[in-house]
Amino acid sequence: MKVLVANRGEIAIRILRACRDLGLPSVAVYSDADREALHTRYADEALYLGPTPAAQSYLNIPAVIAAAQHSGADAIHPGYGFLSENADFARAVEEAGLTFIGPRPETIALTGDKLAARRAARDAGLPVLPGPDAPLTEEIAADIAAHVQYPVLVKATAGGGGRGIRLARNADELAAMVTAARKEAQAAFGDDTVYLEPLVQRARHIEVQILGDGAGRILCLGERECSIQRRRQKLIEEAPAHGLRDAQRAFLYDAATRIGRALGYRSLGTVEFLLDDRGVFHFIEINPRIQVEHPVTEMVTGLDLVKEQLRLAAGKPLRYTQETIELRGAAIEARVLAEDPTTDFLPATGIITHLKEPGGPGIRVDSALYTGMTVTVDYDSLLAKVIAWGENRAVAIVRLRRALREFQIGGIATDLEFLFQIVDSPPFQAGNFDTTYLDRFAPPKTGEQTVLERDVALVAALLAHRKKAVPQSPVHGNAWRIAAWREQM
Amino acid sequence: MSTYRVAIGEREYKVQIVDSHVLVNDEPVKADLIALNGNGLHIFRQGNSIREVYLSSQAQGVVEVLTGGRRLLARVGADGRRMRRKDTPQAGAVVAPMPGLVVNVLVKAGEWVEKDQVLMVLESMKMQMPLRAPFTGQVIRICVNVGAQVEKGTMLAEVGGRELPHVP
Repeated sequence: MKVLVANRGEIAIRILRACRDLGLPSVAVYSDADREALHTRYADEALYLGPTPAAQSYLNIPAVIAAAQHSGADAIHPGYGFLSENADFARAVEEAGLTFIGPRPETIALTGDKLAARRAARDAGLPVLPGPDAPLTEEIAADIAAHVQYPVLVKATAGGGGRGIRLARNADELAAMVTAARKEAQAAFGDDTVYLEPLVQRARHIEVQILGDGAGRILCLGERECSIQRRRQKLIEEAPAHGLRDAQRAFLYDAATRIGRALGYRSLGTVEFLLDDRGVFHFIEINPRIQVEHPVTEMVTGLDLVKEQLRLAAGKPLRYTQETIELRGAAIEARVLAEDPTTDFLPATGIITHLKEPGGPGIRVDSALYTGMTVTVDYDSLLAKVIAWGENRAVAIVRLRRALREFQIGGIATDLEFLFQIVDSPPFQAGNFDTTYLDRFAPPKTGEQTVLERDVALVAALLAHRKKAVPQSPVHGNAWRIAAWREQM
Repeated sequence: MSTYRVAIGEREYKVQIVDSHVLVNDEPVKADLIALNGNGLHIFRQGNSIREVYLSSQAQGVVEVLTGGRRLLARVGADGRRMRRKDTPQAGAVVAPMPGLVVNVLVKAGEWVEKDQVLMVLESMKMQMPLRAPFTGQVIRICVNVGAQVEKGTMLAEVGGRELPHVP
């Protein structure tokens, strides 16, 4: 099976690595901006897709399929984002006689319609949040506004990635939020259907990884906690979720397996839940693709999820049973982003002038970084993921702290220091947080930082002093030395 | 003796160097900086304690310092000249805080604007950011058109006003 990876960045590298481990020939695709990108160089073959804007390259369905056919690939892996949750794409891949590495197109269509997914989950016996099963319009909102229990969320049925969601705190806000959510949903997804869902306060975001063979067998690969979020974007994820009781965990695994079985689920999927402050789970949605945070599951299960996905797509049977799945230790992932915490997380751009990735016991880094790489605003801001494993959560935290301090990225601002501050904070370490943790998070300035700043000031002054003392540049020095050496000859 | 003023964020440090003697904010310290390769890698030594630092000189006396997972920008001024705390390119200049696309321009040159009035909207990584007037005044000029792709730091507009921004 020859595999085309229809993605870029760290996830493209991740999938290409699994291909290499399995001895499968691989094909990368790239846009103008990614001519020199790491994934373009890592694959066995690389094909040009189109101009830099994603709509003309990584989202261009005919171009991706043409690249697969031209290269003689048998299968396409969509990664996450881009075309990964596009049912039309999955269908087009299959109609072209190729294998889509992911769920069936019908499954993607169903999970992409949040209302349909809710109905399917309720039918399978999962706990679903109360709320009308019908799309919401401004007229309906006006009719029901007085009877709704606030606060509520207005969510796009085609939503994803935290977009197309608005909070209404009272009846007066509802209509305006419906309009705003519809507008954003139309712009982001080309579909302005929205629905109403109660806001679960002080909730934790907990999701379950499943792997299905498409013939009714579902493996449950444990849960992940993803409550550390900034503006609904996950920043730190871990497995397992801290402090769950055995009964809660059993309920969660049973629920995820049940919906997986009901859908005859094929390939990797994530069933997402909110855990409220009374300890009750509520189904929210299913993500029909590999997730950014999949490595934490790999670290505690010992499985290579992408490899299993590729094996299934190649027609091999599922080689594990639920009894053989054993969860060991704890893993935490931190997302290194090209975003500057000192300017309210504006995207940072520039050239990576220096790079040193962390290592050592229990550390894994998934990245597509290289020295000389230009970071632009054309695609998302994820630069790298640092994943730490330990025999328990405390050990994983210690290792992650160390790894974040080892990571050196020069040339652009990143969120590395912010990640460290979160991991370093006592509530995080105690497992005492929910999805609103970062809204109130204000890291204190520590004595260590004051010492560091003074040292850095000293270093900068010493460097300036040295330059003043030795004014000639090394280029001149070398030229002079070469001239002297020539004269000796 | 050489005196350097080093600004890091909001804070400023005075460093004096005479031969091998170093003073930070008038306190003597024993410190040395050793270059390891021609590539920016250095060891900063204080007694027996060491810190690995990667240094990269940038424009306008700014040095990027990478150490222990952190990245700090230090601006060095020589010979006792006080550093300005912040870049003040021009009174009333509105510059792009990030690279992006100008998606909307809401005012024209010559128009009077209130402090914090939105002048234009910049879009970057699917985020929209309103750019506001720094103070009440008159728009002197608009430097970009809708659809322009701008780099971080590009001058977008200039506002002249009755009051000037505070320059420390």
